Amino acid sequence: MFRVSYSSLAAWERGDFDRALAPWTGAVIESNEYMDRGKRWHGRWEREVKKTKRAPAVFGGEPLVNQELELQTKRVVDLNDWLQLSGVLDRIDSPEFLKGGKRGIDYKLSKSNAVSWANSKQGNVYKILYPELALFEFHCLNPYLANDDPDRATMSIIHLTDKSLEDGIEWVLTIASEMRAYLENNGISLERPTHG
Amino acid sequence: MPLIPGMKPATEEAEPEQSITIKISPKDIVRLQDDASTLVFNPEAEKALLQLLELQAMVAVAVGAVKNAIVEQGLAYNPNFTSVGGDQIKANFSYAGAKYKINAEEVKRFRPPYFVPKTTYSIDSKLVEKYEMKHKGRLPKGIVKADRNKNLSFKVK
Repeated sequence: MFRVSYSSLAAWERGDFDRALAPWTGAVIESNEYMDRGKRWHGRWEREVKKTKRAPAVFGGEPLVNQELELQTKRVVDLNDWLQLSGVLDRIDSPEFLKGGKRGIDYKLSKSNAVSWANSKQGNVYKILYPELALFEFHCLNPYLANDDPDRATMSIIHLTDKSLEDGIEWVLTIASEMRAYLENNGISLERPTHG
Repeated sequence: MPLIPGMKPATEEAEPEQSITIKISPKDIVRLQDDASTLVFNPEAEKALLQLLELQAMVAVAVGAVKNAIVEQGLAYNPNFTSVGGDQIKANFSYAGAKYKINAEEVKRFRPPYFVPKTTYSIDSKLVEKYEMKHKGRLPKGIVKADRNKNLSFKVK
């Protein structure tokens, strides 16, 4: 199976081919300062959520709901007989206003604000991995802005629908097909040396 | 599902005494448009124009009220609220206008005796943004954050 993730697909789409294909070519993509910093902040937020039973204070600090909290859950979905999609979501819960529907939340440490992420395909890709999601929130912290800057923390909501799912599947199939063709044309195995 | 979470569904509100159905016929709008367009030669056309302007004002008031409600509910839901989007419309709560401005108090002025050189300055926002990010919110000397209003805008996909 050819297993792809949103980050590989997005890297391919923006022309960062080395990074997109690294899991198959074995190319070593060294983590940079931003990636390391992002991992540290994610760890910090996860500990804060578990300890306080609230969202991270910087993202509004709302109390957790319904005791159905899932943190860092990874999913793998078979899209067809050759393509697998994998991904991990920061948080899933089921707030009352969704009447049983699920809400997905992704925390980001990013120079881009939440609107940029809401405009990306990531929400639709999450809908494929987590079809139960009715709503998705991107919470972004820009650590390069002053603590009192109103743009330091931003939050965007997107409603996930059947159309989101269709759009997501179409995008994944399109990009993954291009990547698959490239790998096959260059004699590179579709199986990852190590699953990521 | 409401566009903004937290908004009570309409069914939970008290039922209005009388339901109102508004039908807007695109044909009628076009007829008003045609009639109003003859104002140069036809004084009767002002009735049609008045009707169009009244409709425009009513819709503008309604859309404005919707914007206020979305911003209010969005910020009540989360203080960092920036945007909400569905399949067809995205509502974006963002600042409008230049991000930075010159702090005139910090800029030295040179005035030769007979000529006053006119110098204009413009800010390279991209460079300033990079500087701001690099220095954790500090801005280059002579530049401060501009006072900007935040507006909600709709974009149909």
